[in-house]
Amino acid sequence: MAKVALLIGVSKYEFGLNTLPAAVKDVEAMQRVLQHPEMGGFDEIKTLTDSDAHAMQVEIETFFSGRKKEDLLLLYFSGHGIKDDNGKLHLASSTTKKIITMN
Amino acid sequence: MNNSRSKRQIIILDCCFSGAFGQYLIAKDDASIDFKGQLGAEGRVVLASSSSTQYSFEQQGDNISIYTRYLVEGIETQTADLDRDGQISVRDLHKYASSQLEKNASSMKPKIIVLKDEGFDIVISGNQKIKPQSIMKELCGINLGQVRLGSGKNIENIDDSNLQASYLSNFLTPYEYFISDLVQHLSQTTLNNLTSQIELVNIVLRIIRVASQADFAFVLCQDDHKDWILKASSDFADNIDRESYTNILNSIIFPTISQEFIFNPAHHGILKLHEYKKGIFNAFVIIPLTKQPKSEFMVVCGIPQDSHLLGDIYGRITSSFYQASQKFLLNETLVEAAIIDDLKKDFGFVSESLYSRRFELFCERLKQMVIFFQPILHLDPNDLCISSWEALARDPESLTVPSDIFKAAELWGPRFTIELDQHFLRVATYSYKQARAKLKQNRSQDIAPLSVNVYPASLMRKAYFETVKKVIKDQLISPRKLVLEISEKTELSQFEDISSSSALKIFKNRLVEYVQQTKIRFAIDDFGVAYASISRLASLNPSHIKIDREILHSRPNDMIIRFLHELVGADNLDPPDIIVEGVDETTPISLYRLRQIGVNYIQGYIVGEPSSDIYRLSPEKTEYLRNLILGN
Repeated sequence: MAKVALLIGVSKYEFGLNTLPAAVKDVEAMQRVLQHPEMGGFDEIKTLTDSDAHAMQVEIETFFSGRKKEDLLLLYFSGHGIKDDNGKLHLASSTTKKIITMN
Repeated sequence: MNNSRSKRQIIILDCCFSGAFGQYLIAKDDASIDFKGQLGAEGRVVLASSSSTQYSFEQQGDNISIYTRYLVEGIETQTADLDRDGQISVRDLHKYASSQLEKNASSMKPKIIVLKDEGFDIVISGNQKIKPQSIMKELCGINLGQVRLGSGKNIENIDDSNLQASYLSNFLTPYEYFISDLVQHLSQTTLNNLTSQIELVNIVLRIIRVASQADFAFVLCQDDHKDWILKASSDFADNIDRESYTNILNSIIFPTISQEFIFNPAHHGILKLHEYKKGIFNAFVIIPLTKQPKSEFMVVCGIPQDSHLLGDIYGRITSSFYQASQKFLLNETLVEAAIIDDLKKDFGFVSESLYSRRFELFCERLKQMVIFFQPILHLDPNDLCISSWEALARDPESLTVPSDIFKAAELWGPRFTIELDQHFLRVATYSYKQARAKLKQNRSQDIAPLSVNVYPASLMRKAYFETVKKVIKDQLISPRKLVLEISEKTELSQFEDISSSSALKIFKNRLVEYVQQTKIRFAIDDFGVAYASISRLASLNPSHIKIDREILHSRPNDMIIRFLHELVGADNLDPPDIIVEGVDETTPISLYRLRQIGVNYIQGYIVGEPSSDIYRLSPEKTEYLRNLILGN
C-alpha cells in the first residue's frame, strides 16, 4: 500500500482574483506534517505551486491514474474556488482563463 | 479522478470562494455548492474549508490559512486524536478543525463528505449531532474514516463538545438535579461567627428536607450511655400533623430499626413506607452517618412514595452532603466536589455530566491555589546559603497543603493530574518570578534554582512537555534554573499497559528528551518511601535526590544515607546532589552528623518555613546554622 499526496497551492492569479499569499505556505506546512514519519508518514508527496491550468490538470490526472485499490491518495488544494453558472465547482489556476473542472 | 482505482482518496480543499472572474462567472458564497454531488464517490472523503468571501481578504502576512493551520496543528500536536485510538482519522481531523474554528469564533464552517455508494449521503458538519440513521452509513464508510493520517499517543485535551454521540444513560443521572438543588440551597445560606455547630447541622437538615420534598429530617446519635438522643432536626414542612408523625415514629418506625440493620455496608440507607393518610404512602428513609462508638443516623420523613429519589444513591448523596457541609462549613464548591468524589469512590464511576462538573470544580479550585517557597540549604559552613527553593502548593485561606486537590487528582486520574501539574508549573514559575522581582534579584547568578513537583505520568504527556517549553519561552524561568521533582508516590507504570521494566525504559527516554530539548534538570523526590526504588535511581540518573523525612526517623538513618551516597556516587562522574528533607529541631540526627556522613543539602523547618516570599538568610540564622553544622 502506498501513501501518496499531491499538494497544490495557488497564491498568484492573473485574472483579477486576489492574491492569496498563504496558499503556497499552506502547501509547505501540509508537506511538513504529512512527510514526517511519525505524523503523516506519506511515502511520496508532490507539490505544485502557482502552476498554470494545463500543468494542474496533467498532474491531477496523473496523480489519480495507475493506482491500486488499497493505495491512499490525498489531494490538497489551497486557493480560489469558483462556482460556474451550472453550479460546478472549479479550482482556479494561476495563469489561464481556463479553469480546472473537478470531475 | 473518478476513474482512479484507489478506493481510499482524501481530498482537502482550502478554498476562498471569490468572484470577479470574468462575466460568465458569478461571485458566490459556497453555501450552494453541491460538494457531494460533484465530488462524492465511493471510497472518497472530502474536507472543505468552505471559507466565506470576506475571510480571504483578512489573510495577511506570513500566516498560513486558518483552516490549514488547524489541520496541520491537529496532526502535529496529535491533539486531533479525539477518539483516543492512537490514530488521527480524517474524521478526527475534521472534528478538530471545526471545533478550533468554532472556539475562535470564526464564521467558517468546514465540511466533510463521505460517500459509500450512490444514495448514501453521509454529510457530517462539525456542529451537528450524529443522527441515528447516519451512524450506519458512517460505519459503512469506515474504511475512509479510519485512514491513518498520523499517530496520536494519548488524548490530551478531551473536549466533550467534540463528541458527537450521547452517553449511555447513567444510574446517577436522575440524582443530578438533587445534588445541584442541595448545592444551590447551600450557596444561598450564609454563616456568621455566632452559628453554633448544632445550628449548622439544623441548617443542613433543613436543606435536605427541602431538596427531598420531605416533611422533616432529623439526626439521632448515641450518647455516652449508648442511649439514642436527638442531635439535630430540620424545620417542618407546612401543614403537617406533628402529633401523628410522633406516633408513627414511636410506634412503627423506631421499633423496627436496629443498629445492625442500619449500619450494614451493603447499602446506604433503608426505607419504610407508611400509610400516612388513606391511600397516601409516605417514605421514611433511614441513612447511616457514622459508626460506633459515636453512631449517628439520619431519618428523612415524608418523602412522597413515588419520588424518583427513593434509591440507594439518595442515601449516599445525603450522607455525603451532611458530612461535607459540616467539614467545609457550607462552602458549596467543596461540598459539591466531596459529594461527587464519594459517588466515585462508592460506585466506581459517575455520569458524564457529573464527571465534567467535577473537572470544572477542580479547575476552579486550582485557580485559587497559591504558591509558597521553602529554602534548601547548602550544608557547608564556608558557603552557607540557600541553594535552591521548592515550590509548594497552598490553600489561599488556610495556607496549608490543599490536600483535597491532590486527593482529587489521584482519585480521578490522568486528566486531573495533568491539569494540576500544568497549572502548578505555570503558577509556581510565575510566582517565583514575582518573588524574585520583589527581592530585586535580577542577575542570573543570583537566582537560585526552583524545584517543582510533577507526577511521573504527566511527564509522559505531550501537553506537559509543551507547558514546560512555554514557561521557558515566556521567560518565567530559565531552563537551567528549573528542576522538576518526580514525585514517587504514584506508580510509574500506571500510564501504559506495558510491563514495568519497559515502562521504566520509556520513562527514562522521556527524561532524556526533556533534558536534550529544554536543558532542565530532574530530581527524584521522596526517596525511601513508596515507589522510589534503588533500581530506578540507578537508571534515571537525576541531578538531585531527595531523601524522605521518614528515613530520618528510622534507624539506622545514617547508614541508609551513607549507603545512598555510595550508591549514586559509584562510577558516576556527575553524581546527583542528595537533599535530606524534613530536617527540624526534633530530627534525631544532628546537622553536624549529616555533614559528617556527606550530606550537602538539607531542607526543613530548621532552615526556614515555607513562605510566600523568597529571601536571603539573616546573619543570625546563618550563625545559628553554622554552629549546628560545626557541632558547637
